[in-house]
Amino acid sequence: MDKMVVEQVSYSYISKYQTILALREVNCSFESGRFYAITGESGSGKSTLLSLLAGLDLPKEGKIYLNGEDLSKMDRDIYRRDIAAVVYQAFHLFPLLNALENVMYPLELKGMPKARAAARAKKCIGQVGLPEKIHGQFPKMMSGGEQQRVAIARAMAAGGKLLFADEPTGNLDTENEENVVAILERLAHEEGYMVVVVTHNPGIAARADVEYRMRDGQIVEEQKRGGGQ
Amino acid sequence: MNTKQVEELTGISRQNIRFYEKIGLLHPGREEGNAYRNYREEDVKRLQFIKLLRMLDMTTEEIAQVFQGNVALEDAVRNQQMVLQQREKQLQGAIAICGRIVREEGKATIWTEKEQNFPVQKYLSQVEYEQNKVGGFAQFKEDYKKIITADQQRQFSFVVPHLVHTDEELIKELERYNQDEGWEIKRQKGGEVNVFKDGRCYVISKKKIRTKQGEVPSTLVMGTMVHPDQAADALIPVRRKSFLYSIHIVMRNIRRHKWKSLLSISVCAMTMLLLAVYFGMMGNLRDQKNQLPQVMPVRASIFSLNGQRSKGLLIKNSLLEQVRTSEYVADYTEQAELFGNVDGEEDTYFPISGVTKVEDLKERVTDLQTEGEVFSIGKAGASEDSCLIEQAFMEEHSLNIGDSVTVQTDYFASSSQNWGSLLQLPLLKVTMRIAGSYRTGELGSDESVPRIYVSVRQIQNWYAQANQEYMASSFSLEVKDPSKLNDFKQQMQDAGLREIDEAADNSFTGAALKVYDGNYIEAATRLERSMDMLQSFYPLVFLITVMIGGIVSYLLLYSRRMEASIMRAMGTRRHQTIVLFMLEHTLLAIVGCVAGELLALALGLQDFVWYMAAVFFLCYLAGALISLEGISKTNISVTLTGRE
Repeated sequence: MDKMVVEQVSYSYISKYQTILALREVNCSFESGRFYAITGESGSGKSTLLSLLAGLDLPKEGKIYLNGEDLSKMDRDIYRRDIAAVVYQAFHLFPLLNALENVMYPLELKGMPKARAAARAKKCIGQVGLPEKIHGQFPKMMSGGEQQRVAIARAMAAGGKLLFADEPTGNLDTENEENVVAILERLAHEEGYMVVVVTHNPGIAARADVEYRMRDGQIVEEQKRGGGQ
Repeated sequence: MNTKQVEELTGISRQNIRFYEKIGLLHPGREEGNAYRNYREEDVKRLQFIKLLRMLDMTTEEIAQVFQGNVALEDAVRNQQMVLQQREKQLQGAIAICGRIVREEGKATIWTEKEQNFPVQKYLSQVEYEQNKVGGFAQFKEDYKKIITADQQRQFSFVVPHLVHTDEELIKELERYNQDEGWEIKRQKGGEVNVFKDGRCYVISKKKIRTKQGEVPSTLVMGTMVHPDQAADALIPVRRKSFLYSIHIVMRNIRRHKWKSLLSISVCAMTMLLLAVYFGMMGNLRDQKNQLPQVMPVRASIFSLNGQRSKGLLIKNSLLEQVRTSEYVADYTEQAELFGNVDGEEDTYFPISGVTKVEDLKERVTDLQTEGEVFSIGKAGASEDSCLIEQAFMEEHSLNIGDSVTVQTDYFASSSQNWGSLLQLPLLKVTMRIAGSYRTGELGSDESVPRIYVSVRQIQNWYAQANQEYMASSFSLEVKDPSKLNDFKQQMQDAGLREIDEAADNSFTGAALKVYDGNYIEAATRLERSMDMLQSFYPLVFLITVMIGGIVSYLLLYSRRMEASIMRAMGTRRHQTIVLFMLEHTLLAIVGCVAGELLALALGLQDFVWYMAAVFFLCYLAGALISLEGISKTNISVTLTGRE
C-alpha cells in the first residue's frame, strides 16, 4: 500500500520574462487502490502538480513524500523508471518503435532480457484489451484510442504501481475515452494502482474516488466519493 | 627500559610485545637479580620495525623469515605488495556488487527466517565474475559476444510452408528442423511442447503467418527459452549489458530514422566533397604554377645594343663567364664564328662555327655521320681537336672521316675607326681530326653556312693560344626558375648586360639581353590571380564548414528533443540519453565523411585536407553536444505538455 503526501508545495517558473507562481502551498495526499482526479481551469496548476508527483520536476518549496521518503532525495531516474509512470494527452509513444517495442522500452531500460521483456510487454498489451496484431504496428498506423492504450500498457509494463495521466482522453472520441477511463478505474480498483488523472472533463472527475479541485495554484476543494480498495 | 616504557614509546600493547617475544621475534635482556625485562634501544627499534611490517599486513611468520635472513626484505615487501593488490581487486569486486544489490534489490528484497526472496545465485555468480574478469577491451569483446550468443540462445524460429494444425504435426516439423542437432522434443501433460537443446529448455509456439491473397498460408514456429537468465549473458553486469543493448538500440534507431540518418550522412558527405573540390582546385592551381617553368620555359638571348642582331655578334668572354656560371641559368647555347682557309686556297674563306654540343647541330644539318669521339661541351681539355666537316667540302678536298685537316683560322674584331664594321684578323693555324661529316640543309651554296663545325671550347682554346680575348657570336639561355626573373635580370644587369635600346648605334657588340618572358608572366599572373581569388574564399569556406557542421547537427538533434524527453520521463538517465544520441550521430558522421571522401577520390579529387575534415567533424560533434546539452537541460514536463 503506497501513500503519497504533498506538503506545502509551491512551484514557480519563468515565462516570457515574468515569474509564474504555478502552485502555492498545496497540501494533498494519494493512496494505492484509488482513482484520483485533479480538476480545474487552464492555468490552475493541475498539470504542474502532476509533473511534480511524477518526478519530472522538483518543488521550489515544500516536500513530496512517498511512503515517508522525500521524493527530492530519491534517485528520480529510478523513480520514473521503476515506480511512477505517466500517460499524456499526446500519447508520446516513440514514433519509430512499434507497439511491442514501445511497451518493451522501460523493461529493456532496466536490463531485462529481450525475450522476457517481450513476453511481459505482450501480457500488458493484452491487459489493456488490444489484440496481438497491434504488436508490429507503428503509432502512425494506430487510432488515438489504441495509442493511448499502448501508452497505458507501457506505463504498466515498468512494474510500478503509480500511474499519472495528464488529460489522457483529451484527444479521444467518446468511445475510446470510455475505454481508457475504464482501464484506469480497473487498474486502481482491481490491480491496486494509485491512479491520478488530470482532467477538465467533469464526467471523468465524477468517476474518481477523490477529486481535488484547483484554482490559481491552490487546491480549493476536496471531494470524496468512496470506492476503491 | 621496562615494558611499560616500551609500551608508551612504541604504542604496541604489552600483550603483543609478549607475543613477539614468545614467537622469537624479540629477545629482551633481563635485569640482574630480578626477572624484569630490560629493553635496550635496539629492542625498541626492532619492535617499531615489527609494527611497520604488521601494518603492511605481513604475517609474523613472514617477518620471522626476514629476521632470520631466509628472505630478503625487498623480496618480502614486493611479495606483500602483490598480495595486497590481489586483495584490492577482490575488494573492488565486492564493493561493486554491494552497490548493485543496494540499487537493484533495495527494500523489496527480504531475508528472514520465514521468507527469503533474495536472488542469491545471481549475485554469487556476479561476485565470481567480478573477481575473475579479464578487464579492458578483451572483456568488452567477450561480453558483446555473450550478448549476441544470448540473443540467439533465447529464441529460435523457422517457417513451415504450410499450416500446422496439431501438436503431432508440430513435433514432426521440429524433428525435421532438428537435423541431428541432438534436440530432445517432449510433449508435456498440459499440451505444451518443449525442446531441450544445449542444456536449455524452450517452449514451442506456433503462429499462422498472414499472407497476401492467393499465397499458400505458412506457420511460424518459435522456441522461447523458459529461463532466459540462464542465457550466456546472465553473468554480465547489468550496466555493461545495458550499454551493449544501447548499441543495438543505436543501430535500430539509425535504421528507423531513415530520412534523418540519410540527411546526416548526406550533409557530411556533401561537405567532404565540397572541401575536396575547393582544395582540389587550389591544389590544381598550385601544381600548374609549379609546372609552369617546365611547360612554358623562359628563354633569353644576347642581342646587339639596338636589338637588330642576335647572331654574328662580338660578345665578350668576361661577360659570358658571369652568365654561364649564374645560378639562375639552367642551360645555354653558345656559338662562335670564325673564318678559315686551307693551304693553297688562301683566298677562299669559309665559315667555321663553334657550337656547345653536337646536339645543337641536329636542326641545322642532315645526314650527320660521326666516328669515334666527337666534341662536346663536356670534353674540356681534349688533347686533339676534332671537327665535323661538310660532305661537299670533304669531296672537294678529297678528305675522309678520320683524316686530318689543317686550317688557318681568322677571327673578327670591331674596327676602332669604324664602329659599325668588323675586321677579319688571323687567329691560329690549327690541325684537326675529321670526326664526322654532314650535309647542310641549305639549297645551293651560301657563304654564311659553316663548312666546319667545332666545339666552342676548342675555339676558346685557339683564342687563348693566340692571346686574344674570346668572343662568342651568339648566346641564348634558359632561365632556371622563372619565379625569380627579377633576381635573374638584376644579376644580368650587374654583369654588364643592358636592355635593348633601339636608338643605340648599330654595332656588332653583343651587350643587350632580351628575355622572352611575356607569355610566362601572363600565365603566371593569371594563375596567381586565380589562386588569390580562391584563397580569399578560404575564410568563407572555413566559416561555412564550421556552420554546416555545427548548425545542421544541432538542428537534426534538436528536432528529436521530444523523443529525448519521453526517454527521460521514462527513467532513462541523462548521460545515457546523451550517449545514445551521440553514438548514433557520431556513427552517421563517420559514415558520411568517409562516403564523401570516397566519392571525391572516385571523381579524381586527390587533395584531401585532413585538418579541414577534422574541423568539420569536430564542429559536427560539438553542435550535437550543444544540442543535447540544451535538450537535457529543458524541463521534461514543459516539453511533453507543450508548454514551451
